[in-house]
Amino acid sequence: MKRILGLGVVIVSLVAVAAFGQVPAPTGDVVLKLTGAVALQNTEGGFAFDLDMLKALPFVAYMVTDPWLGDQVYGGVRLADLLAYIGVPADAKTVVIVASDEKEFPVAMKDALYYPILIAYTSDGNPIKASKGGPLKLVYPYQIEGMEALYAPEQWSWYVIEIRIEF
Amino acid sequence: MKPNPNEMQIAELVALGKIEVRTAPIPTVGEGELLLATRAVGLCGTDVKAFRRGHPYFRPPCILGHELVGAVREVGAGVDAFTVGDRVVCAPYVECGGCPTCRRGVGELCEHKAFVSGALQEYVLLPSEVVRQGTFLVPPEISDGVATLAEPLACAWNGIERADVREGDTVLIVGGGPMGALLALLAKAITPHVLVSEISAPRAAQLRRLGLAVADPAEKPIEEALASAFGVPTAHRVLVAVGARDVAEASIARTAPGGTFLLFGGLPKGEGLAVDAFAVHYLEVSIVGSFGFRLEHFRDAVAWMARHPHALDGVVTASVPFRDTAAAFARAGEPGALKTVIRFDDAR
Repeated sequence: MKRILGLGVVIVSLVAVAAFGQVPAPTGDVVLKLTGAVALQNTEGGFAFDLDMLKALPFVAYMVTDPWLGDQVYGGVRLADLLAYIGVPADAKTVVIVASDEKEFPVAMKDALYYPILIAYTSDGNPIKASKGGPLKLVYPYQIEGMEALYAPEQWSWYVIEIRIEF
Repeated sequence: MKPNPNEMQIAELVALGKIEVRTAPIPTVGEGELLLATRAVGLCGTDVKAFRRGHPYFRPPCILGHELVGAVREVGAGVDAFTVGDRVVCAPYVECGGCPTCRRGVGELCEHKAFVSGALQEYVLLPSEVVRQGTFLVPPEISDGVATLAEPLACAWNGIERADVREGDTVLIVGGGPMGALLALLAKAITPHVLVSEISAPRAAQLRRLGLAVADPAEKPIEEALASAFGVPTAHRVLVAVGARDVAEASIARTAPGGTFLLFGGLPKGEGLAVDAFAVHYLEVSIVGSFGFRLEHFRDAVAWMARHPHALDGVVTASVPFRDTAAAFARAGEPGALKTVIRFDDAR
């Protein structure tokens, strides 16, 4: 039954693309790839974003105490919005965040969909510098009680380049 | 004879090539200041240069050392961010923040910096400006030796930013000394395509142990190594971490069209560089330099080390007791050595 629901999500996503036109493709440098079990694809095996494409998705910002850099206002796209845009099977279990140094940081799908976990691209309104983990950085909403117990400071991924959806 | 409790040991540069350990009064702590009991000091290329050949900023008699980790021994009035026993690193200088240079965002060039005195002494007094802005707690996972790398790492961040290294770039680091190693490790955190050019085989072995790809330009021309690594004989970002004019000049030609050449290693004032104007104009190669750091880089360096507590473990290759400071200076820069750290556990 779950598989059927999952297939349904994929079909809905593809139907949405068919209804609204061509799949967008990056025109600038690719900053993020979504791979694995993703419905919407603009490249072999996944979907590539340039920064403008990411910026076209709903923007969310909040102040949070970064465990490494103190209070920051991070802004970017919620994992939930990213996943909804791309279309993922309902029975996918894990969102694996991959950093440019090949480190991987798993986030449970249920958490990715429920909490405002960000793929941040701004810090205090400015692009995130490499020295602060940018241009893309995984930010957990530590302002929510219990979040730090779920995802320890070591889970804040710097230099995010890929998100892989796994069952 | 029982040591005087008001005195400490200092390692003083008394003449070029000569460091002597002697006693001096322990500084008195004033308002807003901190007194640190020195735990470890990293030896920098500038320190070694000042020891061997002299340096306009560090004329004997003086105390060298500016890569410092210490424990708070005494807290001045009005300081509430630190308590006795805290293990901290401090920026050896902080920019004023208010002058036209600082307001332009290049605080590393500020002419009104507040400085910390030389660190090769048992106790170091931190001025209030440094306490307020440039002093940071060290997470327990970070060793004393690695903590001393906060300052060179801050300098490396400045270089990485000035060179504009981005994910996906190909990067050539010329010179695999401690600074080249730090530049390469930071670059590799951003982009996987990093190659270090290093002529010393023992040092190349150290770099490989850090997980870095290394090419020996004496073995085969660096353009061939680049072509093997990246498919073309150039790199998007070329960072030169040696102070040698001929190396710098040759490296400009290894910069890809639209790329950036960074002169990280210093050359004497008045020294010229021959640059092919074709590369600058027609190929849009940017030539930039970087010097030191500003507070933001230091803060980010501490955060980066905290985030990656063991990434720099292999950079410190020698840990020498304080009593052997003079010998450590004489041996610094030997083939195979990266960073030498003076530790103070024998001083008290």
